[in-house]
Amino acid sequence: MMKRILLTTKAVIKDNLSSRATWFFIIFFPLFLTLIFALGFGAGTQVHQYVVVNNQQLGKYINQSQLFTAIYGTNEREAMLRGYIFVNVTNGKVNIYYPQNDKYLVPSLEAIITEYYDKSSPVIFNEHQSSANAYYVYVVSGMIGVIALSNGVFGVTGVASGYYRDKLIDRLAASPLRSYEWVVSLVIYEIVITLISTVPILLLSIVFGVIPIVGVAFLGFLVISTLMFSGLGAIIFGLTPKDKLFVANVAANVITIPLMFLSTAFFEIDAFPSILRPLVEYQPVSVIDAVIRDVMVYGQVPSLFDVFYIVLLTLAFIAVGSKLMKLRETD
Amino acid sequence: MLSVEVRDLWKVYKNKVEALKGVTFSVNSGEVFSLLGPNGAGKSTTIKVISCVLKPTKGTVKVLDHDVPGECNTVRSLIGIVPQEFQGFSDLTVEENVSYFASLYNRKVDVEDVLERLDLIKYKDKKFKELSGGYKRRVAIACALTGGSKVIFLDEPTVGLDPKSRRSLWEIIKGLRESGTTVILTTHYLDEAQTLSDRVAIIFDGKIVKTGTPEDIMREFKKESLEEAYLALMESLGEV
Repeated sequence: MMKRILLTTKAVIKDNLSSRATWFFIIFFPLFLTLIFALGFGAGTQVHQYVVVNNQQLGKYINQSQLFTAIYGTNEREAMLRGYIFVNVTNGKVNIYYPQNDKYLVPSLEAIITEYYDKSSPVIFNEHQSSANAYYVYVVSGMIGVIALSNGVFGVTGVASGYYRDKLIDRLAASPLRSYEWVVSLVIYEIVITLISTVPILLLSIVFGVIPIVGVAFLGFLVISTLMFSGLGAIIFGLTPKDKLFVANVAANVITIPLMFLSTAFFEIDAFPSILRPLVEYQPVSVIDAVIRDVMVYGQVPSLFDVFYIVLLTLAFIAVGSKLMKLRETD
Repeated sequence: MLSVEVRDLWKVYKNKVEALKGVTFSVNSGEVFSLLGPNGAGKSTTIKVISCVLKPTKGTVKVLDHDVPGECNTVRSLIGIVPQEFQGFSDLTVEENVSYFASLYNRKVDVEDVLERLDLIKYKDKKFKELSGGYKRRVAIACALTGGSKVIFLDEPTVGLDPKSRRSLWEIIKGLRESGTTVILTTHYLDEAQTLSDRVAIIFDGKIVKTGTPEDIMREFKKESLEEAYLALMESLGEV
């Protein structure tokens, strides 16, 4: 059993990794996307400095100054990762968290806040400086979930469609290879390419000045995420009529692109319209990214809810996907 | 001795299409048996049921005395199949492709010997995608031979091949028969069926409408070739 799985995995890996197109999609595409978001939307290119404020009235007042763009939010960590200034007003004390490069903006911001509050009762400011390049880390960690998504979904639908077209699946169906051995081989292949894709992204993180915490937890969640999205890919392929295989790739795109961009991979939750926020926050890529950020950036235990949610979804997708993707009717 | 026995086989797909409506035939060990018929008649469905890919809706199917679908694990380890337009792992070499399929079976296979038999030794390090159509078909047959090689199914093996490659595949099929392998062939080329087959079955609208040796069928329709006899039969069935 194990022998057939390993030999099938080896054949699939060798067959696919000999193609330049595969290398483009597993190495250059994620790198390209990361660089676009990190450099294109990073703090270094901001014309306006964003300020996240936990007080809506103060936010409106700051906006009137036209020096800053204030948005309402309560998540300091997210704001720091985005390279924003975060203002937290509690009991008359104003805590200002700011990226290293924005230190020069703090006096102006403090002046506006002082003006907003009653001048007779002086405001107490506490300043906290964060490390540089926080937004890059946000994008890099966000990209990990996107890699698991794109490799899992496109990997399974692409490879399976290609092999179906080439009648390889017909041949395998009439061989002693069991359906679960076939599915496990494909999933191992997806895990291998996800690990390959992740390496340059982690190296990029180091280039940006942040050493990622790559431990067992990180690798474990990376594997689980790939399993989850491979299961989703198997569901898409399994539901596709085999005389219309192009539908599998269209469906993969239709599902993957919103999951990719309507997630917290590149933009924090506050950047989305409020009507979309619950959807964005609880869709799988966002939950995976939250867990990956916890283990890779902060080195802390992720929320139990998030872990439970990911494991449950993975089991569901894999169970349904395996059932739909069986090699033959007689299994 | 019978290699394949099919009795009153029905296959109804989930969309209610009745692909097979009581197909009955048998194939003797060591013979070349051709399934002929127009597109959509049920040839490929029959092969897929016998090779344990599709589940029969009703009827009895036995391969080398093993029941389908009850003993499919055994059946799959005894048969080889060449699907129509089989492409193999395109970026693997000829030898890697054949070795991979050999590794799926629980028996020792001499890959070199299989490559030798199909005149593939000199191409063993070539990638599958770099081969001509004729040699790709040879690799497909080599992959099938690594299975049981007791019963081999060839689904339209010569489609799209030039005349020389086609003739060369005919020789390979004749060689299989000489080595005692049972060959079940589907083809649209009636000259091929006439040359290669010991017996043929003509399937039409999910039913076997004629079985016999090519000579018997030609005699019955008083025709000089199997193709002419086949056309006469189709005309009598209202298929113009």
